[in-house]
Order: sequence, then structure tokens, then C-alpha cells
Amino acid sequence: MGKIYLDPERCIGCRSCEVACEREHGHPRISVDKVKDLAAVPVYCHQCDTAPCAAVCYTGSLRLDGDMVVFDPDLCTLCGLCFVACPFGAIELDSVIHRCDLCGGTPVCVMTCPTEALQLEDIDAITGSTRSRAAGVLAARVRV
Amino acid sequence: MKVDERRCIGCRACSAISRSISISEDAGIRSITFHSHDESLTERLIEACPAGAISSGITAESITLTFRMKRCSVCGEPFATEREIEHVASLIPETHKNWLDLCPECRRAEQRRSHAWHCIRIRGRV
Ligand code: SF4
Ligand code: SF4
Ligand code: SF4
Repeated sequence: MGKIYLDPERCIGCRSCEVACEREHGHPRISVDKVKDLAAVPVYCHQCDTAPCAAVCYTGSLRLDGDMVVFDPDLCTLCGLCFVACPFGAIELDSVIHRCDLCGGTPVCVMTCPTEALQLEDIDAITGSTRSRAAGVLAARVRV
Repeated sequence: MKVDERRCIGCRACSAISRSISISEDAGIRSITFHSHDESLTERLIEACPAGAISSGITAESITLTFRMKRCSVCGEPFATEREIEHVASLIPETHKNWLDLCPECRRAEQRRSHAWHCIRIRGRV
């Protein structure tokens, strides 16, 4: 299915992703903010390959499944250990756990982003395009 | 039910099951009070506790456990008990777990800062 990747140079801080996520789930699981006037950056769940949230979840409620971490609310005890464990602060806890489920495969944040700062991609495709872009920049510099 | 105070990490999972378990938080201390109990919930409590702190048995009086909260090393807000942090740290394989010193809000801010730096470096290059 791939994961959500961010190109921070493209984000214009419009918060469309956040609003779309809130519309879809009732509570946004992605949050956008500015760093001074320098950049706007969305923060969200990375579906980590060795996910700390799944490592601490003792009920099997959060577990690795292929290249994503799935969540089963029926098994969750609301202990909050996943909230403590996530390196990105991507889990919120009130009377339920709020965490990205990739919208079942078509994430609305990615669909909504007007600048394609967020993309659902395979890691190989992403590193490939990053490298070719860097090569492009280098080539432009060599030419002048 | 009985609670083992050496094992309890103060996570509050039990309080979501039983109304006889109450929580309060004040001045960097979380208190959990286990009141005398409807024993029909004991099985569920044993299963739900991540620390194996609950066992069957009768406690006649109520007991209150207190936990020091960990304060975020950036903003100073308490965000989890120190025992919860130790428990989590023992379960994650990574050797560098420096993010556990930050509250989730400051972890998000940290992410933003590092991405912003990346952008500035790129802009400097072109
Ligand atoms: S919730 Fe956090 S730890 Fe879990 S997969 Fe997402 S980013 Fe990783
Ligand atoms: S709060 Fe729920 S999902 Fe998170 S670690 Fe505890 S049981 Fe697992
Ligand atoms: S679930 Fe277990 S570890 Fe968590 S507060 Fe209750 S007794 Fe303590």
C-alpha cells in the first residue's frame, strides 16, 4: 500500500490535510504548524517499520501488519502506553485512541493536499525521486 | 482484587473498567485510589493491567498509590508517570530513546524544527 511521505519544501501551511482528516474521523490525526516564518510542517504517523507504539501494546490492539500498524479498538484498554511511546507524538488519547489508519488505503490528507507535499508512496519510489531531483539541481548548477 | 504497589505503573487502564478506581492529578503527582470492590470485575482487571499488578484477593480498605509525573524536558509539563516511562523504555528496542524526555506536543515541535532546518539548508543551496 505504501506510506505517507512529506516533501517539506512544498508545504504552504494551508491546513487542508488537517481539516480533511478531521472531517473524515471527527478528530484530526495530522497537525500542521509553522516554525517561525520559515516553514510549515505537517506532523503525522509514519507507520514505523519497528513501531514503538506496537512494541509497547500488550493487548495486540496495535500491531504490525505488512507495512502498516493496524489498530483494533475492541482490544484497547486505554492504558496510554502507545501515547507515551510514539516518537512523533502522533497518538492522542482521550476517551479513545486517535491514530492514523491511512483511511483504509486512500488517505484524505494526501488526496486533499494542493501542492502534493504529502504523497502516498513506496519508499523506493520516494528515494528515487528525491535522488533525481537532487541530480537535477546539481546539473543546473554545473551548466551555469 | 489486590494491587501490588511495587508493580503498578499508574497507567489508569483499570480505572476505565471499574468505577471503584479513581484518579486524581495535582502538582506533578498522580494518585490512584482503589476502593473496596465489586469482585466480579477482577478477571477483567487482571487481564487489562499491563504491569501484572492486579491479582485476586480481597482488600477490605481502600488504598491510594501515588506516582511522580515525568515533566517534559522542554516545556516542563507533566505528561506521564515516571514508572510509565520506565516501563515503555524497557519495551522499546532502540538504544536512543531521547524522545521519551519530551511530551508529545514537544515531540511534534521537534519534528517541525528538524524539517524546517532541512528546508532552509536546501534554499541556501539553490
Ligand atoms: S503511532 Fe507513532 S510509533 Fe506508532 S507507527 Fe505511528 S509514528 Fe510510529
Ligand atoms: S492504549 Fe490501547 S492501543 Fe495503546 S498500548 Fe494501551 S492497549 Fe495498546
Ligand atoms: S492497570 Fe495496573 S499498572 Fe495500570 S494503574 Fe491499574 S493497577 Fe496500575
